[in-house]
Order: sequence, then C-alpha cells, then structure tokens
Amino acid sequence: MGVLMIKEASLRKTARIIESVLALLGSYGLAVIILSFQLILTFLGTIAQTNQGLYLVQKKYFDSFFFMQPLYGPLAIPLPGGYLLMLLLFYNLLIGGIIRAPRRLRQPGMLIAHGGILFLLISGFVSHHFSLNGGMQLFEGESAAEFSSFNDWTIEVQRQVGDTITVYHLPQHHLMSAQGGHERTFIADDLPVDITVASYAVNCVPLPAREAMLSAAVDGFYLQTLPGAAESEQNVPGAYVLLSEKGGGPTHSAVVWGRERAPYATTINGEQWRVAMVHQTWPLPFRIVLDKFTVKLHPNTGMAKVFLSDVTKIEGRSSESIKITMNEPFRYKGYTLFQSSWGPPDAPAGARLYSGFAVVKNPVDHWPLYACIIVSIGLLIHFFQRLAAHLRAGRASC
Amino acid sequence: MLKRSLLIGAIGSSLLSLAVPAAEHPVYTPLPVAVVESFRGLPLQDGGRVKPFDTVARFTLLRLSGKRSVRIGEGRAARVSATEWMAQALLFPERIMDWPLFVVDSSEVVVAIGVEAHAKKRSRFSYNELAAVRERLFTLASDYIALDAKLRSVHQTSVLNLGQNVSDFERLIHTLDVARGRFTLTPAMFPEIVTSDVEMNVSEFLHIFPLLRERLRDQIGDGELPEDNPALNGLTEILGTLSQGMSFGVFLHTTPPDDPDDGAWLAPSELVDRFLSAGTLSAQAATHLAALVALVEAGENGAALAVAAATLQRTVRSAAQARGELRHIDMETHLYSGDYFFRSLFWYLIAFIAVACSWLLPPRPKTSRLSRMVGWSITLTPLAIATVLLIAGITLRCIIRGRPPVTNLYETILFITAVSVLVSVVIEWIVRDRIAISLAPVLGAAGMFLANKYELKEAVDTMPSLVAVLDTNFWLSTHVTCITTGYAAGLLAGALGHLYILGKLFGFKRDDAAFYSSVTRMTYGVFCFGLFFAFVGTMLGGVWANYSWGRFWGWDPKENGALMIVLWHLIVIHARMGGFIRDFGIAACAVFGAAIVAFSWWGVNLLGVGLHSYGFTSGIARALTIYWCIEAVIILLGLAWRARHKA
Repeated sequence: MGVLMIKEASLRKTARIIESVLALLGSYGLAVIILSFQLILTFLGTIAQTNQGLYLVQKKYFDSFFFMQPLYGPLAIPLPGGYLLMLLLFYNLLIGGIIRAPRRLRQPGMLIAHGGILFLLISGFVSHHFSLNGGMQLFEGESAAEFSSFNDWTIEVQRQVGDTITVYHLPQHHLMSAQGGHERTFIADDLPVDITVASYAVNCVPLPAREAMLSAAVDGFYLQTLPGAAESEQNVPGAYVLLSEKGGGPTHSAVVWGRERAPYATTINGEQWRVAMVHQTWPLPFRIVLDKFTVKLHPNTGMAKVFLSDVTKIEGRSSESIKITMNEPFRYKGYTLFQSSWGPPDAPAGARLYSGFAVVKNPVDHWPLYACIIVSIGLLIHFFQRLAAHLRAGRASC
Repeated sequence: MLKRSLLIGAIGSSLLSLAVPAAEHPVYTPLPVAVVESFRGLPLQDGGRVKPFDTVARFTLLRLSGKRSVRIGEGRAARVSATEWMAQALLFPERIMDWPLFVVDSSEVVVAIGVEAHAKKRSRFSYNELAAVRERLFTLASDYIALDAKLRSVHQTSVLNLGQNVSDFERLIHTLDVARGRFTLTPAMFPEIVTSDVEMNVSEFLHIFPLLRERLRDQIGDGELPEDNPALNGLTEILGTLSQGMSFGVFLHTTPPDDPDDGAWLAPSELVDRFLSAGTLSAQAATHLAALVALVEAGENGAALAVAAATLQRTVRSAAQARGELRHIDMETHLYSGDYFFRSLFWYLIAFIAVACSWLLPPRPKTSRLSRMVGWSITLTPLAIATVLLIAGITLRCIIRGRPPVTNLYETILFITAVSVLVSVVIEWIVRDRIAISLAPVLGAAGMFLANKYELKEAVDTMPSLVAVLDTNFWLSTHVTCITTGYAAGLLAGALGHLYILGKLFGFKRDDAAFYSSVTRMTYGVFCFGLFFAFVGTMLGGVWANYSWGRFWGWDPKENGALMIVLWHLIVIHARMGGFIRDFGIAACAVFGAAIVAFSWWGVNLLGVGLHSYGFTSGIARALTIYWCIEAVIILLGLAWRARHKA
C-alpha cells in the first residue's frame, strides 16, 4: 500500500513536471519570446545585407541554430538563429494548440489559422531540405537537359575506358572538411586510385608560384585564397587534387579551379582520367531548346517591358512549343522553369543575347499557397466572430 | 544618358549664343491662351508611355526648379504655368534665359561652381547666371558621375543634379532647332532648278532633296568627287547645318511613327536623322515636320501661332488616336489640372478644424437630435469632400494606367491614406464616440502632405512605365493592396496609440476611463485587422515570388520588412492574450508598430539592396530618423508617466 502511494505520488509529480514543461513549451510567454527574437533576427539580417551578400546573411542569420552578433569592436553576443527559432515556434504552436484546443472549440478560426501556420512551417522545412534550385542560360538554338546550382560546386572525376565514361562527383559538403590546409581522401574499392582533396578554398584564384611557394605549387601554380564574395555566386572555389594509384603506384597532382577552361587530364593504367571543379548539376527528365528570345523595352527607354523565351520541350520523340515569360513559368513533372534574367549585361544593340532560366524542383511547390488560404480562412472566421460579438454587445448595451 | 548629354553640353559652345546678359528683372511676354491650351493636350512620348505635354512640363519644371510653376519677379508677380513655361522654352528660348529656374539648395554648390551667390541659401538661378560657370559645372558633374553613387556626398549629388538639369534644359530649348533651320539654294548650285536665290525651311528642303540629289548625281556622274562643285559644296554645308541641329540630343518625342508595330515615337531631330539615313520621309512624318516648322515660323504673330499650335495638336492627336494611344490623354490632363490631391489636403485641414470644433459640443444626452445632425453634417461634409477627391483621384489614375491602385511608392501613400481614413470612418460607424472620426482628417492631411512632399522631392512622373516583373494586374491587385492595407492599419493603430499616450501625458479627459478604454479596444481591433492584411499580403508576396522566381521566401529586405510587421502584430496579440500587456502596453506597442511600418515602408528602400530595386529611394534618411526619434521619445515619456502613475 505504502509503495503504491509512493508510486502514485511519484507519478503525479512526474505528470505535474511534464504538464509544467508542456505548459511552458506551449505558453503565450514562450511564443512572445520566440517571436521577439525572430523580429530582432529579421531586423539584423536585413541591415546586414547592406555590407554582406544575401547568401552569407541567409546562412549566418536565417539557416543557423545560433550566430554571433557583433556589438562593438571584438564584442559579440550569441543569439538564436532562424532555424532554431522556427523549430521552437513549431513546437510552441503544436503544443499550445493541443493544450488550448478544447477551450478553443468555440473559436475554430484560431485553430484553423494556427494549423495553417504549422502547415506553412512544415512546407518551409521540406522545401529547405528537399528542393533543388539552380539555373540554365541558353542562347538561341542551344539546348540543355540539365541545370546547375547557383552556389554549390562539385569536383567531377571522369574515368574513360575505351568509349565508356564513368563520372564520379565529390560534392561540396564533403569538400568543406578539406579547407584551410586540411585534406580528405576518398577511397572506393572499384577505383584504381585514391582521390585526395587538399586545401579546398571557397573562393580563390590560381597564381604562378613564387619561389617560397614552390613546395605547395602544382605545375608551377598555387591557389591564393580570397575572402568570400558578397554574392555567393561570385565565389570561385579551387583545391589541390591528388590521384594516388593503388598499390604504391605513382601519384598525379592537379590544381582544379572553378573557372578553368579545360579539366586536368592524365592517363592511369591506360585509362583517360579528367578532373574538374564544376557547378553541381542535376538532370532534367526532358530537354529544353531555346528557339527564340525576345526582349521588348518600353519605347525610348532602357527599361525592360517584356522578356519572353520561346522554347521547345523535347521528351523522347515528342516535342512541344512553350512560351516562358516573367510571371508565367513552365511547370512539368515537378520541375518549374522561370524566366529569370537575360544577358550579357550591357550588351550592345543587336548583340546575341542569352536567356536565363531559374529551375526549381520543389516537392511542396504549392503548399505556401494552401497555407495562406487556410490561415486566411481561419483569421476571417475568428475576426468576424469577434466583430459580431462586439456588435451584439453594443446593441445590447444600447 | 547624363554622360552623353554632358559631353554634348561640353562641346556645345554655340548654346551660349542664346545667353544674353542678365536683366535686372526678367521680362515676361505671355503666350496666347489658345497656344498654351493647344500645347496642354498635345500628346508626347516620355518615359516609355504617351502622356500629355502638360504632364511632361510639370515634372520637368518640378525637377529643375522644385516648383510646379515659375514665379517671375517679386511680390504679386505673374506665375507662369509649367505648360506655358515649356512652350516658351520650345518656341522662344531667348525669353526664358533670365527666369529663375534652377534650384540650388546649398551654398556649398554655389561656391563649388563659382556662380554669384544669392541672398537666400536655397534659391533659383537663371540659365544666364549658370551659363557663366557652365564649363566648371559640367567638369565637376563629369567627375562626380564617375564616383560610386553610394559614396557621393550630398553636395556632389547636388552638383550632379544641377549639371543634369542644365543639360536637360539645353536639350529642351534646342528641340525645335531642326525646324528653325533655313537654307538657301542658289542658281550657281542648281541652275536648272532655281534661277535666283531661294530660301527654304527644312520641310521644303527635305521635300526637294531627292530632286537635288538626282541633279547632283547628273552633275558629278560616276567619277571622283570634284572639290569645287558648288552644288556638292552647298548641299554638304546644308547637311552639316542640319546635323549640327541634331547634335544636342533628344528631349521630347513628338511624332508617332508610321509603323503601328514600332512603339518608339520620334523627336524632331530624329525625323531629319531618319530622312538622312533612309533618303525619304513618310507623308505622316513630313506633315508633322511641316507642322513644327509652321509653329516656329509663326514667331511673335499670336494668331498665326495659335493656328500652328492647333494644327500641330490636331495632327499628333489624330496619329496617336489611330495608334490607340490617345485614350486617356485628356483624362490625365484633367487629373493634373483638377489638382485632386492638393484640394483633398485642403479639405482634410478644414475637416480637422471642423472635428476639433465638434469636440466643443456638449456630450450626446445634452443635445437635441437636430443639433447633433447639424453638428455631424458640419463635421463630416469636409471630410467626405476630401475623401471623395482622394478616391476620385486614385480612380482616375487606375483608369489612365489600366492598373490597380498601387504600383509604386507614391501610390502607396495615396492608397494608405485613403484606407486609413475609410477604416477610421467604419470604426466610428461601429463605435460612435467621435474618437476615430477625429483621427480621420489628421491621417488624411498627414498622408496628402506626405504625398505632396514626396512628389516634390522625387520630381518624376508618378505614373511611370512598369518593370517587367510588375506587369501583372492579378498580383498587384492582391498582394500589393493587401500589404498596403496592412501598413495603413499599422499606422492607424499607431495614431490611436499616440492619442492614448499623449492624452495621458497632457491630462486630456483625465477622469474619463471609458474614453481610454474605447481607444484601447479600437487599437486592438485595428491590430487584428492589420494582422489579417499584413499576413495575407506578406504570404501572397511569397506566393507571387514562388510563381515568378521559384522561391517562396528569399529574405529580401522588403520581404523582411513585411515579416517584421506581421511578427510585431503577433507579438502584441499574444502578449495581450498572455496578460503581459494591458491598455498602456497596447498603446506603446501600437506606436512602436507604426515605427516598424515606417521601416518596412520607407526604411528598407534606403538600404539599396535586394530584389525590390524599383522601390529604392534616397534623401529621406534624416526625416525618417527624426520620426523614429520622436516615436522613441513619446514611448519613453509614456513609460515615465506609467512608472509615476504606478508609484
């Protein structure tokens, strides 16, 4: 009996603790704190864009768990990043909603609106982790069946045996650990070489080696690391790559750099090997041919009125003519092609222009719209309910 | 464009031939009213769209002088309308050389360019005054244009703007140079065509030019060009004079093209240029050129000038009509001559006085129904007139542009003002305690004052052509109107917050708890209203971005500003629900919320980064900082009052 009572008391205590924790996690107070930090974060992230690029700001402020906010000189304070705040907000909403749901059955609008925000946060999470974003640039007559990332690079290793070419990729997130004089080796049983990447630099330029640098140089060149560019698209990465033949065979050293015109090429055991630093690319399940690109300016101005791409989508033996213009993208098989830009910049009149497309594969493409509709309906129901109650109360008092 | 025009300006020393010694008082010879009226409705193409001459004149004058009319002399001197000023500039440039046109804000600029200073710090200089220092002005402007725009000082920017204005003015006054040219054919040149010296204008010359060219070919044959051929030398000289008339660049595009698929109208000099390159001129272009020539040849003869101006207007309007570009020209002329927004400001001020007087009336139970109705009528009539003028002006703009009410920053001011006034009226209709209706004229007057100041500061057409990404009426009418309605609600809540805090500070209705309770309820209600529109507007902006650029959210400054408003609304509402803030807290939060709205509405435009580049602005940082400081002081004073009150 005594044991039972102790257990019951202990259970009650645990339940109370859980209840308190849940109450805290779902509380208005926590909501206010999270939203306040989010407000501060958004303000700081906005101001920071004046001297840092959007991509860097996004990584530092909005995609992070924590970040250090400089105050004065070397002084800085840690603040929660956007990713952490979104997670906390999600749990706050979820738990708060569950706790308060029974009391809110008479106010369904609020429940619906909060459900819509949860849905929005989920769509943001899925989009952040599972969408692909890139682009392609085509001159008239050119075609492409793949698109490239704006920011992510990869070391592409091609192995050619006879007419067969096998391509291996060392993606950027694996290369980051080889930064700052470190190195990372990639080993595979079916490869005759081990691939070592050293001194990966996010932004760099190859320079002829001076005497003091000769020990680090490859073919008389070394990579001079540069500070990160304000716009991440302007970064050009590079690295030293070492192909070591297995079984103690010779090694082949190369400098790979993002703007190199031709890949490093060598012969290993009679096979052709090529190594290059290239943008991460993804294949499209169809081919796009740019038939015609039209730029219309407002008359007697340099301001673009319309830019329009007439393209042909080729898939297998079928083809289809499509127009892609601003605000009217082309969607097919989960991929969306947007008219995003044109160039070259400052091209003289009559010069050949390219059309720039942003390409996105987003599994939750339409979810933000659905979330917007849900939240709007919820808020409308709630506010009309409140307004009606207010008017009724007013009439009653008259 | 500036570089080119400055270069042209630098080599165009012949311009100075127009400059005459400055007169003590500028002379004003008015144009006949009929001429001014003909010019007013003359269609032109400017900034990518066809608009009335009047609109171009208004904004050109605004840019040059910071005024909508030119005041000549002191005291009750004549005010010259923008249309007449520009018509004078085209027809009789020598008449306006001493008019005080070019505004110079700082004495630093005066010292830098070396012009003789005026007594006032901010004053207007005539072209003749600046002509003396023109070379130095253009040299400095050329130096400053090479600098990064973000690194230019205020003084450097002022010099640059002045250089641009002088250059624009020079292009304007030389617009009709090609029509002024007179050429002489002599018997020595073409004995088979003329038997004595024949003087002709450009229109006649271009008409006869194909024949002259044929005769010249006959004279020369296929051999080498002779050096001493009078026909060849004479024609070369005439064409050289024509080219010189075209060398000052283009300012006004006056002539619709023949080709209906060609959207670009032509300047008078381009008509001649086209003739020289193609060898022929279409019948329509020839008619336009003849009309322009008749205009300048009419000279001081008022009757002939009126006929020529009417002919030109008729010719251009008929060509524009055939192209479908005349539809809203008269409506736009009416919009500006009707001065809807300035009149609206005037009536809001009257409404404010009327509302202030209405507070002197005794409370409801002590007055009869009739006296209440009379009081309400006196109060509401000016407010209604002001709001109708505002809404009518917005509606006319929508019809002229074929767009929803908000497409640029200027229009956000008009729309936000209209929404905040209308919401105040609706609140009054619900609550009926004369609080919201008292704020309506204040908000209306403040909004129209801001619109007026913004138009003066920017001095550019407030109905510009849209960049490609904004060419979508669906998103402009949903996202943009929602988000600006959210701004309006935030500002209205802020106004109510001010009323609460300032009322407490100054002891207004000290013992009337119901008054402050009502203000709090209204503030909270407006917060909820604002949350809906700010949230939906922000989300729709994301959805638009998702469907236009492929990403829902890009942390762009303008997006962030909108998000900050939503977040602040959520913070306040949750803090209220959690019991962390009450009446005073809501009022203080509303004031702070208005400061956030100002950041989102104006502040992020100053950063000069992000995708919303069409909304960038400058020159308002000081005003904005002052506004934020005032808001901070009000909140701090409110907190101090609160602390003392609690104690």
